[in-house]
Amino acid sequence: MSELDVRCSTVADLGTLYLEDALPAAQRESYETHLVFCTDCVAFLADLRELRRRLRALPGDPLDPTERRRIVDAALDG
Amino acid sequence: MKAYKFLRVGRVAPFSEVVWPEGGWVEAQGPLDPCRSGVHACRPRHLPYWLGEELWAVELAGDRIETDLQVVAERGRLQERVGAWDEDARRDFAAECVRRTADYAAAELREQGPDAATLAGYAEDAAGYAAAGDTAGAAFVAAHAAELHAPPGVSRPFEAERAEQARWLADRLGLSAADA
Repeated sequence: MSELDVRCSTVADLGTLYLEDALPAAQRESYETHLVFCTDCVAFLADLRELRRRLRALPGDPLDPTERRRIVDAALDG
Repeated sequence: MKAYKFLRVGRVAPFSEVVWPEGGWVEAQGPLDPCRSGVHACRPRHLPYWLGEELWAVELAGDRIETDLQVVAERGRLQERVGAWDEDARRDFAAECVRRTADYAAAELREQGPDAATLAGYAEDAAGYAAAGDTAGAAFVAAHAAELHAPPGVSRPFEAERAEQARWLADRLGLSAADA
């Protein structure tokens, strides 16, 4: 992937992989050159990073199984 | 080796957000891995890809890896700020990128190419970035315009335009050709 191949849509699609250090080196390099000039994508990644931080801060499973079953049943009943 | 590094205001690395000390070494954490682990800097020919507010000359030491766009080393330290990369230079460089984008548009028009209108739009985009102080945006648009209107005999016009931008920067900032 060259610098020219990285579009804003690519940044969105690969955002999680980028934040998890899961992109191959060359792809990560091209990705970062896009971030140098694209302030919208920098803002998008900052939002994504913050969302991930908040999700990780949530308790593991706030519902007990009975309560979860009741909610699912209610939803299925319409 | 001597290399260069763009930082945000306050010597902040743009991706790791590490604050570089004015004295002392910054050390890599773990094995070198481009864009992941290591001290990242660049040669003058790479500068247009990494534009930022502050430009520093850095000394790199230990093992290092070179990629197409940067140098990754075991450790590095700031030597001196490149004072010539100031507000005037940023503005002049952005204006140069607007001019180059307009030149691609004009050439396409002269040659009755199909992309003259698109390139004219690129010139407007580049001017908009430049007016907003977004030097990196203007530079990218110029490289993208080169891709659309490939100059005769140039096989990789995007990279060729980046190389021209690098030459302009090296000349303006007085960077040594030996470092290229």
